[in-house]
Amino acid sequence: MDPRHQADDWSLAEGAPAKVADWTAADLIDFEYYLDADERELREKPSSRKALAERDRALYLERIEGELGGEKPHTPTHRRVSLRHWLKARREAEDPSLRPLLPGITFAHAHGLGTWLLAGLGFLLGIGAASTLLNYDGHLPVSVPWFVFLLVVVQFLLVVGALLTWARRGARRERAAIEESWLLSHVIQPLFARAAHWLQEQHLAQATAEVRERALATQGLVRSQFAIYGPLSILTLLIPAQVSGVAFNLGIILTTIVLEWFTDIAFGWGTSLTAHPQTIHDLVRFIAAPWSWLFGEGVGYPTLEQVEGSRVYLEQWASSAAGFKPDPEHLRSWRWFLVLAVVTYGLLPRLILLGGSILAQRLALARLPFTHGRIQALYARLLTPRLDTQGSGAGQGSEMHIPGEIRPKAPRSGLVGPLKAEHPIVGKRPWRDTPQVDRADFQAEVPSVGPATREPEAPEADRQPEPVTTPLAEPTAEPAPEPVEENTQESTPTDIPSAEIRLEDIAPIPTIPEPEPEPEPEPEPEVPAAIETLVEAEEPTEASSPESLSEPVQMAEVSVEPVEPEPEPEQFQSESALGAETDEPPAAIPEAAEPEWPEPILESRETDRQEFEPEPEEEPPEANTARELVPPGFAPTTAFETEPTESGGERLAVEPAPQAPAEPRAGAPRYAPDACLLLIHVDIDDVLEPEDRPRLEQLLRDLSGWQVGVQATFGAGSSMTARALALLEEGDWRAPPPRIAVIQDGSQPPITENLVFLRELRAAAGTQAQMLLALVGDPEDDDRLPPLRAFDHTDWQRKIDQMADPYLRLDMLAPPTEDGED
Amino acid sequence: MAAKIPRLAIMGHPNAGKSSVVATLTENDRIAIDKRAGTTTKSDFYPVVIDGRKIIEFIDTPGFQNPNAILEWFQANEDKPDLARAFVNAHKSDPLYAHDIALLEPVAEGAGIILVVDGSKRIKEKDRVEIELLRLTARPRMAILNNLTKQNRYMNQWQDALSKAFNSVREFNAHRATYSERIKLLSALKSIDQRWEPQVEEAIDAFARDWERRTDQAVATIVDLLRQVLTYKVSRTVKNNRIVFQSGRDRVKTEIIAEFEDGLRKMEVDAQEQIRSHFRHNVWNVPSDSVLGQDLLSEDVGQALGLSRRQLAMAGMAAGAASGVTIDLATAGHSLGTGALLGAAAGGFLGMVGGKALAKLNIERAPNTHVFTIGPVSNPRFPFVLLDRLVLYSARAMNWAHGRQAADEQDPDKVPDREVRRQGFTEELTAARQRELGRFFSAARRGKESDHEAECREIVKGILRGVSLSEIDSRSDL
Repeated sequence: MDPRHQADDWSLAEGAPAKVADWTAADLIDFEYYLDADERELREKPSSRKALAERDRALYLERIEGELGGEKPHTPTHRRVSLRHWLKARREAEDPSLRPLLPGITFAHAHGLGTWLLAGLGFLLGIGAASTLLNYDGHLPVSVPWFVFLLVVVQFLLVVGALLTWARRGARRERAAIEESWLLSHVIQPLFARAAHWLQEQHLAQATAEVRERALATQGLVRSQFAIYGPLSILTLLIPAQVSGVAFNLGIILTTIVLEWFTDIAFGWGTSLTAHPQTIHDLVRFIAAPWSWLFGEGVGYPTLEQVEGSRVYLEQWASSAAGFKPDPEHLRSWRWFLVLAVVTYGLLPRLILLGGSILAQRLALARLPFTHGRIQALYARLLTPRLDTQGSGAGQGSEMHIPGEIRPKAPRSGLVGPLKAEHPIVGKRPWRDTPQVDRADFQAEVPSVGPATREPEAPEADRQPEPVTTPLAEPTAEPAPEPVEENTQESTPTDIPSAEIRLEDIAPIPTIPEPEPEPEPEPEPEVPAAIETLVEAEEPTEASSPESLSEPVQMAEVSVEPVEPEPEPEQFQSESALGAETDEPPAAIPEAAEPEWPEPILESRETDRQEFEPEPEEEPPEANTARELVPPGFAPTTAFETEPTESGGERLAVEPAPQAPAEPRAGAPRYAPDACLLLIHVDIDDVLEPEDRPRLEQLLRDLSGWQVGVQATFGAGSSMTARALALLEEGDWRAPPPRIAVIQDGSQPPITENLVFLRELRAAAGTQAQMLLALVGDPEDDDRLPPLRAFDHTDWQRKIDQMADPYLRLDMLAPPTEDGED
Repeated sequence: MAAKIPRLAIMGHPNAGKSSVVATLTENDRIAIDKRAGTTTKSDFYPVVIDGRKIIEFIDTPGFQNPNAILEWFQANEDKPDLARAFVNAHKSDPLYAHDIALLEPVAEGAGIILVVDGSKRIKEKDRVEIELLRLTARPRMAILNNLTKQNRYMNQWQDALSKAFNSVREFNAHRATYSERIKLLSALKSIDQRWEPQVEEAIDAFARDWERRTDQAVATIVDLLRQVLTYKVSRTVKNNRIVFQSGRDRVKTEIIAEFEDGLRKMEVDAQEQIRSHFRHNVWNVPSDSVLGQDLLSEDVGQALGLSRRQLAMAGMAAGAASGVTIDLATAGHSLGTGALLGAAAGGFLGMVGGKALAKLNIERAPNTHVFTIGPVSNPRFPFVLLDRLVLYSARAMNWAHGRQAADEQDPDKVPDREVRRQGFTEELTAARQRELGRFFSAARRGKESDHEAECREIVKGILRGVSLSEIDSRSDL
């Protein structure tokens, strides 16, 4: 574009990045312009806030931060410099065709042009004034007083006036400065405005409509923003004025010198007053004082004689134009005095004012705090880290997996989920197993009974393990007998009851009537006792030691479910059972862990099994297998023993269908036609109080019409699951398709694990077994079996539906109350 | 990607509130959250990006599907050095474990663990299992007790159970967490692995500054709105022949009044929209039973918010009666000569705020036409009411946890929003500040720039800051 643009401060700024921190008036104007543009954008489109924040932060990080040289944020320097760099970056980002139209740059142009114009004008004025005053036609000498008065005294007074104004303003620091300098506000400012306008018009004439519109819109801004930086704007206008003054003086001086060089000018002075030349001379000397040390009398100023000689008496001139011959030297003697007077009293003060203005402007710029509201917002945008927390969330993964059906006879070693391990995994659950894994469960489940039994058991447990382990390796026979003996000794009494129980048990009925929720655990001990007795009997009968070992275990299991022991239909009294239970503990003791079926199993599994690894496959350690089997075939009776071994062996190897083995065994837990296997999730079991058990059974009966045949827990690991499955598989179902009731905590959403368990049950029970999944809500203090919220129910329903198991029914254990929460 | 940034996998069982926690922590209300379990089906990454650099990454994981199996596998393989990695490798292709793999994968890659549990429920078996299996991963870990209800009886049990296995246990209500609680939770991350301290601090600093900036923006929005509202005018030129009859005149009046009121309402709605976006709410909306849900110009709002009569009088006096009402009303009708001035009468039509007319209606007669002009608002109480409403709105927006979308607001057990006096914010300010506000309002009404504006900004900012730091009650029931 045109050459003027080369000089604008924007390009200067680019050329001299080191100086970029120096603000100029033009910078400020552009700065305000950008601020205003941002603000307007925000007002019109609040959503652009984010974009602005991002833009400014990016500018800061990429362009500004590096230039700051480690200056601490929020210091004045940091603010100045970073804002200045921001401006620079913004300017550079501007559309090149629009850049010269930026108000600040336009202003700079106008300012420059105006300054030149004023300078030119002043210069011309100076020339004009000087040449007019020095106009010598050869008749009358040039009037020195006029020259001195107009070009020196008046000028000097103006300067003094300006200085006074300044001083006054400086003292008051108040505004009203504009009002005070009428010249500035009424002449110079409009002049600039015009110039700027004209310049812009020049540009706009060639600009596109859009650019033109935008530029015009900014025009108003130039003026409105001008007021913000009050003193600065005045200074900005003062400087051209000083420049003009300097130029004016230069014009005078140059003209004077030139005229003196190239023409012969006579200077004279005259007055109508009575003035002695001496007075004039004194005056002259006074005026010349500043330079008299350099240019003395006769050079810098005329001597008294010369003063006298250059006096003009008009009558002399008129009358004796020809005769009167003043000394030409006298008439010329003033020449340097005039020049020096103008330099001293016109040019120098102007130069000083100019320098002062420039200095003051610098200072004013340097003192700008850059803290007003709009800048604060910008500065905050620069410094505030851009924070983005929008993640990649959109994607969808697979839905929760619905486990497929498990083939009934598929080898199933890991029991919680299809683990690939070869053996059931030992789950350590410190919170559950305190002394021995299972017991913990027990305790939890049947608090009241638990403690009593346990204590005795604990020791037993210890014993047992020993026997067990030993037996494993060794012939089982030995260990077996021992326990038996013990049992017999201690339990004898109990045995009987247990037997009775069993009878009763067969028909779940007995349990039901009896309160006795807790019976389950209790019976166990008894059972063992019975078992023991049985065992004893068995042992003799059975040659295989392993079995005997297994037996106790089995028995234990059996015992667990008080009901099971159907085999001996002797006595139906539940009470006896209860009593037995209490007694039994001791009995159980000998058998140790086993008394409570769960425990034994677990223990054996955990502790022993690891070594033995269940899978029995007929290795000598069948004992182990037996144990494992045990859970499955908990049938305590002698009959079982044989069976269990067989079945166990088979199972281990092939995992025979549960039902098949069960049937043959006379001693397996026998399920009456209306009895079911009740599986309670440990979470629920943990909180059930004794008095809740009958209610649970009642609820179950209401829901399905089933009695509780055998009861077990699940949900805390493979071993527990294994036990549950064993109960199912070994059971003797009077009315074949097995009936299974599963009590789950429905307040927790269903997870794959729950469904896998159902699948496993299904695999163990056969495709047509009736399964009921009864959900319970989150237990409360006064109601451990509260109804489920409808919302949770549908959640389960959805998943259960997806399993597509026609013989699986989902329901709430307790009917929803009227005041249902959902 | 920088390898060293702290990554935190938020884990727990389905529906424990993992996504809510992430949403609240990262102020991202676009995270899908549902009351139904299993909304999150894969691990989603929510990095905290500061100036384009990831500083911390939160990973929202699906819930555990087979905790027992995982635990048993871990226990059976305890000799392996990196259980999580080993498990992932071993079961990668098994669909049964798809979710478990998705959630263990970040852990296998070194992420720290934040376990989210529902502290309102008793400890269940699978909670213990999860705690144990996370312990076995040996990663830095922290537990969050996300208790959305006032049920506190299990909290101690939880604390005990969790502190055995976790470096840090914190309570955090993902539906109620305010800014300061979020910052506290973030600070706690420092304690679970000291190496993360610098990044966590940077993130906290960024959050704090971001918050400051947003507060400033909200203040700016509020002050701008006040200024805008106080200079708002509507005028309409009507041909004489339309108002020959009283009925026509009345109709014009009603129309222009409606326009004026709608204009005010719209300005308020726009400002609310801005504030909402300052605080990054895309989904949230004010519950309809709030004062905010009621009409700006309704009597109820006028009653509930703003200054009391006496305070108002004081503030008004300070502002100089010149704020308008008195003088304008007194001289109304005379000052405008030709104009038929209906100031007093107009009160009947206009929404009354605090017993005084909202603004005056002027009718000026010109050749062949009448110019109906209404505004600016002259009711001295109105700006205070408006300010209160906006502060209330901001308070809500600031304290509305982003993870609250799926909250069951009907749940009788939910944490109750605090009890509050039915009183506006401005009513609690000192008399000096009320006067300052009054001065600003009166200056704004006359369209003047004034020094009071800066002061006013400070006051509003003070209120908002107090609200976000819970020093000033946020009046969440208003």
